[in-house]
Amino acid sequence: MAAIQLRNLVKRYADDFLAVDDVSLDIADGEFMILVGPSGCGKSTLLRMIVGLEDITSGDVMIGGKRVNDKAPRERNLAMVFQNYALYPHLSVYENIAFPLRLAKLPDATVRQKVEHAAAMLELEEHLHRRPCSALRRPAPAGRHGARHRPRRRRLPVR
Amino acid sequence: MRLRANLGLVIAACLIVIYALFPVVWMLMLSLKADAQSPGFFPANWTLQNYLSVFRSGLFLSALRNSVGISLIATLLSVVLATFAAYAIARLDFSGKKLVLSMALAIAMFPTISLVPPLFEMWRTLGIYDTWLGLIIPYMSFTLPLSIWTLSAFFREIPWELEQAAKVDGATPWQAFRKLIVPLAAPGVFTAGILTFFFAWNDFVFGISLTASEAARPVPAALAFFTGESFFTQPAAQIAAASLIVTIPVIVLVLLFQRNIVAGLTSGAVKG
Repeated sequence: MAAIQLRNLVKRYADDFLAVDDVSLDIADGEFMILVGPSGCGKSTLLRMIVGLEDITSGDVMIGGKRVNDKAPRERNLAMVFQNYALYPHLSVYENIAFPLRLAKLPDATVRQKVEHAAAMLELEEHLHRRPCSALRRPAPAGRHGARHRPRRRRLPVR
Repeated sequence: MRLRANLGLVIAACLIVIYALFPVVWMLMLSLKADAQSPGFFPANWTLQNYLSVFRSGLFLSALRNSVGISLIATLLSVVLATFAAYAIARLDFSGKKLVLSMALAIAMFPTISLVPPLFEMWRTLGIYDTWLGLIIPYMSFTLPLSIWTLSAFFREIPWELEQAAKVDGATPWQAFRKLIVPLAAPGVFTAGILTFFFAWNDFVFGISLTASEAARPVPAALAFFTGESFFTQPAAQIAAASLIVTIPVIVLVLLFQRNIVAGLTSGAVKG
């Protein structure tokens, strides 16, 4: 974990639409921060700039005191839950959770231990070897906090 | 009511199956006849002799080797190239994209036969007449457009967000492509591969006009060169046997990949 600082962050799209207008924000290490606003006000754009999926028009993003404006998403070592929780549909729940760990080339034993730990916290153990669609449709209560959310949310702590 | 509707469907299905399979069964019967001239649908004397003589002739075996080699190489190259091209078309915005797509389609519409005379001259000058390469190139140029169109449709179906999620998870663009996009587009990749393979496997026009010897002549063309046991025997039964033998890979491939072509693999990727 590290502190995140945003300095005068601006995002202007190619069609001249101003999505984020001069945002500065200090998020301390371990702080729980919530962005609230009407839809279309730039919350997602801001997050996407922090995580590196969107180019920064001007201003700086600092992680742990280092400027990361020009770093690729994978070099920023962040995690993000997407609005449409993009689960990888061709992988089992286990492999979904393990995906970032495998990319980081962790040894198999470590991967298994971390995934099982995360799955236990979420009571997802029995679903681990199913594909996300079949695993999560069955007994899980539908709606916002259905089981479908869980593996994706699990990605954050594993990393 | 329901039963009657089903019955109608069953009858219709049976008619179609009979219509489609009748020539195949006819060929099977012909290939099992000791004397191709003997009248009647069923052979008077059943024999496997025709199959044995097909396999004993060097002509067929070399042609089979050419067909397998050429078709597999053309399929592999075509699918790999088409995957890259289709990904670029689906994801990138570059000038001339429309042009590339419509040109590709125009090439697929080209009548095959019109390419034969120029290719014949060109291949002879270049020294690739009667070689594997000389057949692989035209096969690829005819199957690439279709593969690119099929695959880019599949790639467009895959949500952008999945790729972004992979990037945040620490994947390089190449890793995201290989571990996410290609497996998710697998049905499209298999479809493109099968189409390419069948085109190359079934082709007669290029096979007969761009080859001159057993060095590269594929099976469909080689069948035209079949002779009977002696000069005076009609080779119809042997040709039927050889045709059936080369039909087998097609059937096996369809049965094998049918399972892999699972549509809707991406369902569940996105909320809904």
